[in-house]
Amino acid sequence: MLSKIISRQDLPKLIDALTNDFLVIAPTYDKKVPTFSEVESSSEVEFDILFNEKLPMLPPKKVFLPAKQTVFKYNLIKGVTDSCDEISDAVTHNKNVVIFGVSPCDVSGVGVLERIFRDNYSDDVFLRLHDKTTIISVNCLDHCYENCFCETMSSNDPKSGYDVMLTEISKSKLIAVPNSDKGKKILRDYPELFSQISEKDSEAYIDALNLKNKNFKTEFLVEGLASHVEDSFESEIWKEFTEKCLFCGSCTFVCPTCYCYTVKEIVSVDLKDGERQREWDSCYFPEFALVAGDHNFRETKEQRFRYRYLHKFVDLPRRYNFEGCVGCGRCVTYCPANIDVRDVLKKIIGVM
Amino acid sequence: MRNAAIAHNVGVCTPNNAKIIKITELTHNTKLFEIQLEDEHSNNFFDYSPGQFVLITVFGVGEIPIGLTSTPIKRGSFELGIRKVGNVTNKIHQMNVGDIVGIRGPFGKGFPIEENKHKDLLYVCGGTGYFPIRSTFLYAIARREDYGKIMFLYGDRCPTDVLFPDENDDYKKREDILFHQSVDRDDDKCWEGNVGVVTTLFPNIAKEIDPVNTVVFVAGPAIMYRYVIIELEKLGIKNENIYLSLERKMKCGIGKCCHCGIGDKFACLDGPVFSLDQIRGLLEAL
Amino acid sequence: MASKPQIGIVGFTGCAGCQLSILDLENELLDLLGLVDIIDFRMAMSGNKKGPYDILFVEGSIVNKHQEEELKELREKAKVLVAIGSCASFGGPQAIRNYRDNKKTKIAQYGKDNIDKVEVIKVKPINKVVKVDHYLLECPVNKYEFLDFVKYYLVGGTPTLPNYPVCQQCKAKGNRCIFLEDGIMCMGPVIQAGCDALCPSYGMPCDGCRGSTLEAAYDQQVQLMIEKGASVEDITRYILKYNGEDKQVHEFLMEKWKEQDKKLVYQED
Repeated sequence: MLSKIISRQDLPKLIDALTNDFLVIAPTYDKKVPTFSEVESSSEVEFDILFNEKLPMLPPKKVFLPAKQTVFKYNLIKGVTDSCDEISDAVTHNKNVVIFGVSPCDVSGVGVLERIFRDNYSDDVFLRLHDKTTIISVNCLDHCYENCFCETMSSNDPKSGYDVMLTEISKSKLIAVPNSDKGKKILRDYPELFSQISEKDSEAYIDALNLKNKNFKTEFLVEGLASHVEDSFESEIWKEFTEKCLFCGSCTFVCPTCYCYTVKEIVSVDLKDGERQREWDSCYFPEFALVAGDHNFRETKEQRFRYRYLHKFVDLPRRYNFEGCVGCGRCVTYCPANIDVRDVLKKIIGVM
Repeated sequence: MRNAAIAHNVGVCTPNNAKIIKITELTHNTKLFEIQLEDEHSNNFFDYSPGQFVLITVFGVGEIPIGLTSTPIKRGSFELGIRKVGNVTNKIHQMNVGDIVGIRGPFGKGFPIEENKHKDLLYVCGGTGYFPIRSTFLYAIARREDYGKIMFLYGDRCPTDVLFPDENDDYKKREDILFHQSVDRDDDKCWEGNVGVVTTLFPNIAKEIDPVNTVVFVAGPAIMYRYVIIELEKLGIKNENIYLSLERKMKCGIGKCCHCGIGDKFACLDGPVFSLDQIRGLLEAL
Repeated sequence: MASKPQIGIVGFTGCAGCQLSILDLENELLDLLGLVDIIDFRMAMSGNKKGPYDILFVEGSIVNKHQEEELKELREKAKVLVAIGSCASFGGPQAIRNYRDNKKTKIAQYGKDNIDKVEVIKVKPINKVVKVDHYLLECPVNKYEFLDFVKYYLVGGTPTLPNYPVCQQCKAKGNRCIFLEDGIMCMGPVIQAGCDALCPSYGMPCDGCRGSTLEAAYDQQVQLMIEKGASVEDITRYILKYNGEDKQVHEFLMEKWKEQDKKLVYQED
């Protein structure tokens, strides 16, 4: 059997072993904020973020689509000098990357972004980083906090997008299920940390999955949501929420599936060299759809508020067959104006 | 649709270095730039369909989408018509032959010109909308025998803004092309032709239109579309035979950055040319 | 290459912090001097020339007639005029005076016997006196924004300011939201970004020195501040701190907030 057992005690050893071979990114606290960051040893990793029901504020998208990122470098006269491949290799110090402790909803979130960035023309900046990354997920057996609605968005049981899934089968043991060549290689490469699975372990695993199945509840029906949202194009609901919204864009930055970006040019002081930087943008910002000649295709705040929902719940499902929401609840947690995406959707469906 | 080749040797997010090989001044604020990719291999592969666009980078200033203005029949270089409106276009206008710019693309879907062989073609353009229209127009007149009637309606703001006046005069003389031109205003009384918005040219071609067999290609400012569509519908032309090139903000050209989103379509991937039929199904399109 | 652009940096009423901030560009100053000729910078050098300027950077707000005349003369000598810092752009802290009883303020400042001797007018950001081509924000001015402006000017463009709220840069840095989680009165949601969320990154609230962001949601911001327990007076103070002559602030205060804070009286000219 390819699945293996790792004891909870050995998780720090696994992290330490991985740091020898990979650039390891794991949950830590940065000034009281749970976050994913680069770690050099297991002592920096906050395991309680993983096992005590907390989500890092910024989802793992920050590894592939950071707030600011160099796309390529150039000389102002001669043109491009360094392509994104060379730059992104330098970002990871020519190492492969492991992200440890990604929750299933965030695995789904990465999956959404990967699909989008691979579709049609592959975005080499995103994928260069993504494809050298191994994702070790830690399974959730219950809703992690009050804002979580992953079951509603069917995102807590991703079929792909992770390389190893660790599921707690007892207080001291986890089962490590590989889901890709990269994942299998991890289990093979650190044999001293992984042991064979016993029959009892298998049973415990099934029990854990059954428990998971029992614990997760849907809050509302997503079936037919796209047409509900589209039909509400002229609805008063948008106005109601627009009147509460600060349009600060926080929800879009903490969202694991929001991926809008803009670019800008950075020029050196001697005016000889420069680079293009990719930077987070938000469809909530007034200039998002502004073109030359001051024509704005989404002039009002209401249009902008609505667009985000149309994009996530109508456009993405129609284009890619998935919603642009994994139900992680971060937008609810970090909204200074206390807007709850579930309330918006429930009102649209007519169950609130 | 012609198959367009993306010639990138360093990934689609990094531009190809390209050289300006010829600059033609068209009006006081528009120039035509002929451009060649520096890498010979990529340059040989560079192919596009009329109505597609490239993203042109002025290193240190920025990147903007510009519709291809030349016909893809001519290989080895391509032309971009550019009006001075912002930082990037201002800087391009200061550049000289031999200067290096960055080119990504060609991107998007152009006008379905090959799919509509043997049809009558009606072109309607306003202002810089002439640039992308010219690409498909040149394509059609180079293969004149493949198409039925070719009609062209062009409006611009004032006589000094008129693009390609010499080419236009040649078209007017040709018997196998119905070319009509107008300017919105003629304050200096120096214009001999029609004065009025582009829709005032429609009576000139109304009798020539076979509504079932005519395909219309439209490009111009957003405000023009509404009125042109009314005229086209009066002529009985079906929505599915009307194609419009839509302008949107673009940053990536490959359907990622989301700035050009129109419903579940992206102007950069699924457009910039859309049929009116498609547009009717999109919220927020016009 | 053509001769280097002639640059001037002058100050009116303010703390001169913007000029100091430019001097603080230690690592870049020499490179900068390779690109431009600074012909007028009284804080830093002698032998200043009064124009003509390719770019003139103006710090400080206008508080008397004499300054008004001087600024108008300078404008005529400058091809491009750039307001730097809060005072020049939005009036700065001294513009709070514009919302108080002028006589009382004068008595407090100069004493009862002297109020007629001092000729002070309403505090004006420089765009109330002359045409301003660009704004560089922050208190004191963001030195990198200044440097970027010079670079872009030379390369052939103008930099666009980030027209979005401080929250973007705060989230980008992974900061804790002190407004939401700690109830600290942070103005970040309505204030223009560009500072890289400097104050919130140190656990301090954004106090608004970069002016209102585009289409700032003051109604919603103030509603939330009330819910978090801020008093009417405090809210006025938070909003008015740097940006009295910011158009959006002025409109919000005089069209909406005046009903709550009766003490607000706007001085007409």
